[in-house]
Amino acid sequence: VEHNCLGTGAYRSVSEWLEAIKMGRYTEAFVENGYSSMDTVTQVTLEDLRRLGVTLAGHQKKIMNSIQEIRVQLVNGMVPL
Amino acid sequence: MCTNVVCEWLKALRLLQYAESFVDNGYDDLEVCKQIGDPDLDAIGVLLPQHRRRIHAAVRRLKDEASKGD
Repeated sequence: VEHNCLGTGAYRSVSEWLEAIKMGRYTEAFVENGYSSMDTVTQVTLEDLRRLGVTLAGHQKKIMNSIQEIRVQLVNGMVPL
Repeated sequence: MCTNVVCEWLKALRLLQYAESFVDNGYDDLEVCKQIGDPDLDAIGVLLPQHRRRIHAAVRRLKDEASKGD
């Protein structure tokens, strides 16, 4: 796929992303609450995670770190060379 | 083998067998380990009561050390 160079393109779906970081148990909560594409996932805040039922500190940390990485990749991918 | 502080911490507790699961669940520094309670241990898969007690006691020590530092 063409836009694979953009960070979010590295994961084709929310489910693939969550499985990759071993947080697959939250896939349903994400999708049911409207975070069903990688674009929407980059907007997620810690507050949102709590609402989604991600209450464990380690899981929050892991998901937020991964979102942060995706944001950085997205920004870098969009910067013209 | 032990490249991470949580690894070192678990090694000292003789619970190194859980290191991979701790890191996989996002408990990869001592700051986040301070927040460990029963639900966290459930997720990590620490099921044996004696192991859970040992970790709870160690978490209390982490918190005590932190409050002394203030």
